[in-house]
Amino acid sequence: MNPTSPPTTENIRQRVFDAFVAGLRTIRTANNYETEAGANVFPWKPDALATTQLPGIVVRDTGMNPMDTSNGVCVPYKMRIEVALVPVSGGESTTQARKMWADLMTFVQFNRRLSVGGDRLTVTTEYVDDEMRVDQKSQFFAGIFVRLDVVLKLKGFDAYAPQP
Amino acid sequence: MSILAEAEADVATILDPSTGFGVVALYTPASGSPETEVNVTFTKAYVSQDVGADVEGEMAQCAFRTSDIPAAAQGDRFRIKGTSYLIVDPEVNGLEVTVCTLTEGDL
Repeated sequence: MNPTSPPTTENIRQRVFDAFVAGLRTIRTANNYETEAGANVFPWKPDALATTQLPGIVVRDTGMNPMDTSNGVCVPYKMRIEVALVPVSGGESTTQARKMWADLMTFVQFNRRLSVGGDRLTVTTEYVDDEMRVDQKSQFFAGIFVRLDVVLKLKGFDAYAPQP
Repeated sequence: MSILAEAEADVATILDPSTGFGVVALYTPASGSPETEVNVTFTKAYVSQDVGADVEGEMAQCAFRTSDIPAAAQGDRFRIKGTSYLIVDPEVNGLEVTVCTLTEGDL
């Protein structure tokens, strides 16, 4: 069997990811955040960040996991989102990385349920874990790698209509 | 000429700014003195640094005859081509050449 008509919207995975990326881009001091982390947000950046692109955020949606499949009508999913926060190099890198992390937390605090144009896309956002990494070569770089789960509900295998 | 003598002569040629790849660097120990001019080879290769995302970085290194600076240590400095570098990791290889990883910042 095939669908009776083509999709009329973007799939929910794309809509959620786009909404999350758009939200990260609002992390600017003009919006009462501590850093300008939203100045350089890259979804799935294939190459390395240049120093001119710092502070920078690289964000990836790495997978979807069903939480409970016992109710075949409406299934909650966890959409794993990984966020790499990389400040400018130097002795203050780790301090700046923590500020970028705090800004990410603030963004999620005010946007736990993602909505676009009045449409609620997700149920909530959960914090999984994070890891601070540093590397010293000619410059010292630090970064914090954060894992979040965005919870959304879908009907059966419907990839287009969120069930908030 | 022995093999070791030949190797030492080759190193001297390579380090010589007029005949090889060397540049003149100003060495300053962590104590601040004495400052010494020494011939070094200097490279600054691209390296990708992974801090959760890859970042374009550089691996600055210099090499010199160990006999020129026998006690090079972490925290000593080089001034090379107008830029000050801190020695991060000095290593002596089998040819009596010391190779130092350098950083532009402070440790």
